[in-house]
Amino acid sequence: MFQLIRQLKAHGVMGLNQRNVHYIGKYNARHLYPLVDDKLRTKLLAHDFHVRVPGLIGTLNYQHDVKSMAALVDGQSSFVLKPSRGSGGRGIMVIERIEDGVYYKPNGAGVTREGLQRHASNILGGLFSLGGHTDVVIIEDRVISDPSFAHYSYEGIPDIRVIVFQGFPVMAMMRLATHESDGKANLHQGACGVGLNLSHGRALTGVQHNRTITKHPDTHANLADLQVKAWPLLMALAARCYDMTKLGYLGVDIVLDAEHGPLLLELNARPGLSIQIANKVGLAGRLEHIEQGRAPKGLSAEERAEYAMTTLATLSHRTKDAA
Amino acid sequence: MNGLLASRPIFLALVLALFVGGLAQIAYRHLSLGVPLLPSANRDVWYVDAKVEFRATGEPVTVSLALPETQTGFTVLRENLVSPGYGLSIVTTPENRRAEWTIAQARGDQELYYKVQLANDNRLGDVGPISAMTAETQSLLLNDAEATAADQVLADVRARSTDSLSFARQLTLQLTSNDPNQSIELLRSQYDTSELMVALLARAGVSSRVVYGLLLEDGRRRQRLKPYVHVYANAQWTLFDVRTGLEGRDPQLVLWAPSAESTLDVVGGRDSDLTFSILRQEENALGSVLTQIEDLGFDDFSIYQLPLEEQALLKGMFLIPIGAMVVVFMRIIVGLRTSGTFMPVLLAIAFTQTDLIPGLISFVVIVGAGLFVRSYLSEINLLLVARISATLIVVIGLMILFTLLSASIGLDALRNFAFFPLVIMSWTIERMSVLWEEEGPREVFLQTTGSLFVAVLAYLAMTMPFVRHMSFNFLGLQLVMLSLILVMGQYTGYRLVEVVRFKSLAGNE
Repeated sequence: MFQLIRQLKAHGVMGLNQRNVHYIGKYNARHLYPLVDDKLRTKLLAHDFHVRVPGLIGTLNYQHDVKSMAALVDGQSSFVLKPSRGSGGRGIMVIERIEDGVYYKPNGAGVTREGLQRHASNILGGLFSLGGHTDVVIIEDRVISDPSFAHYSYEGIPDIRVIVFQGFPVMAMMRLATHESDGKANLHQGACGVGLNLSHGRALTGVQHNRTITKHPDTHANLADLQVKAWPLLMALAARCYDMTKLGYLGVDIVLDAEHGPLLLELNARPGLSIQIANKVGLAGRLEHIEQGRAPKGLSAEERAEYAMTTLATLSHRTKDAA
Repeated sequence: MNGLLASRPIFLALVLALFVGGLAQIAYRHLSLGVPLLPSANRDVWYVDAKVEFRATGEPVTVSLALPETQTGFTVLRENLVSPGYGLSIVTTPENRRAEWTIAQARGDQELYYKVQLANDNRLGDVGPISAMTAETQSLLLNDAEATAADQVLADVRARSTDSLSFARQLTLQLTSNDPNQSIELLRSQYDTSELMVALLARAGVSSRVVYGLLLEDGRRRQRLKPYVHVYANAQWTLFDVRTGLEGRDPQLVLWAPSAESTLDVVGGRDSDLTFSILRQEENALGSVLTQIEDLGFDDFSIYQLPLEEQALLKGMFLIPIGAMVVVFMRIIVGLRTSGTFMPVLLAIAFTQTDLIPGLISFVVIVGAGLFVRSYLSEINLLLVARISATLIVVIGLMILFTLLSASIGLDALRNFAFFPLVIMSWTIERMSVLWEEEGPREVFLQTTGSLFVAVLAYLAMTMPFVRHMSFNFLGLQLVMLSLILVMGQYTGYRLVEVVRFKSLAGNE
């Protein structure tokens, strides 16, 4: 047991207590949380900081706005309804096409206009939001996943989670929805995580339920061939989210759109630790490197991304490595 | 926030001061006041406060209260009457002892106390003065239909018995039956069961009487006397509980008023009420505490001078930090997931009232049934507050249903559903149900077993005699626990479950 604990320490593996006390407690000011917990605020903030997000079609703020929804969406070929304060992917409805007044979901199921309005009304009522508070409906462009990912996700769109510490991207992982995770990208729901090499966005290893896998469990695509396109752009986008929120320890979720490239999907002030398992490396080494002031200061987001890709990516374990 | 107080040395000094201060208080009480650290093996002493409440009408008031006597299992150690302005006396007659409070004029709400210390002496077979008491001679006046019913019952019982004792036994079973025949039902609807039993026994020529008893349980408040039936057969008295049908005397039952005379008489007042508070202490600790108060004239914390009702409340309160510490440890150091931070502590408190196994069964039954009903509530879209309130009412309904069910199938142990904190139960059901939808049944199972496991640990810690003794007699322990909790709050090492979770990362590369 103690042997195991020593080894974990030597490999710079971070535990929840350390994350909570030392990183979230120290670097994430409580009053900044609403910026990331409310997706609409994140989105509006992103516009101000030139961080690209899926285009906003409109919002519904009150129950009586629901009737005006048709006017907003009927010009669109596809769109997404989502609760502004939802969690874990609940309450998101993707409409792929509209035919003869019927709205079709990606799995082919049709929804009537009334069905769509009821869903919006449920979101407003707080059915999907944390704590059941009344919510706002966001209507935004549907992200069309980059074709290079077509074989790596079963339903749902794969996203890339980047941990950003004091503005430096320190670790990245791709999250692929599986049949078991029901199209959602949360690892504890059965999605699979693929660690990404920080310097060029190539796959390292895949894990599902803490077990190493080499192929996607549903599509059987070889995970080792996975390569994220536009990697420097994506890293810079992640780094910019720090300037935008000032949250020192931040989880950035990014999708790769076929047409628009990397887009910010949402931010998380309490990102999980499974990313360490997918990367087969602990976070502490890279976090301490920055905490000890070894990274240059006063860099722009692009420069910090560059520093992450060249220097942080090559760090092994912790700096004061045990023998 | 980030000022002086948050700095590390100050924090450590604070923790150290709390820890040392707590230990010093414990040491002081132990070394110079002689309060023992361990609960002694000596006999228990029960502190019982009888509280008489009534509203005086402005006329002369006489209050007369029946008093307990030294009896099998219990010795009356000390007793005193508390009541400002009243004349006090204890009247002893060959039959019994009564306390009398008198005052020429009183108006408004009155509170009178009779405080007694009873020693558990475990001397069985000691008959005591109780056997000298006489049996009830007067009988209930039954009308024709009732007399017929009574004779039917007696004939029925007689057919199944051989002597007076087995007669009384069979009669108790009939009277407490969950499925009574018509005659019993008629009689039970008219008369109090204990009086009815005495009357029926008298009709059959068996001597018996109603006695009032108090069941001693540590830390109970607002308890009441309950009637039992004493049957004289085979040259000795045997006790029957007319609520459960059980025969024989619970070792912790004090016979308070061993006669049919009214326990409490109030002249010059109305709305009178008699309630009891009970607390247990070891005699050793008690002795030294009394010496302290007498010798020093004061105690560093005069908890022992409060009325027993408040003492019992405090005794329960001092145990809550123990439960909290168990929760903190299990969550931060071990890493168990529980549903709701302090739900396990509240559950543990409920378990101390219901006992562990019945409590666990009741909890699982209520939450399980609640989840089932809640799954319907989630189909009709409701807002959170309305949904929880609806769940709350459903939980109340379920508690009533299960209480009635378990009573009718004779599962006495499960009658204590009402001890579970309602609101907590409703929130638990709500949270579990959301969890079920979002994360699936596996997560619900994990968190429920996690919560129950922590609750059981907290329960075990809170019911340990040593812990109860320490937490009540040494307030310094609270400071020590506070310092430990503060230290654990800053623990940044791995949780035990994480060592397993991240095991794959420990391999040498």
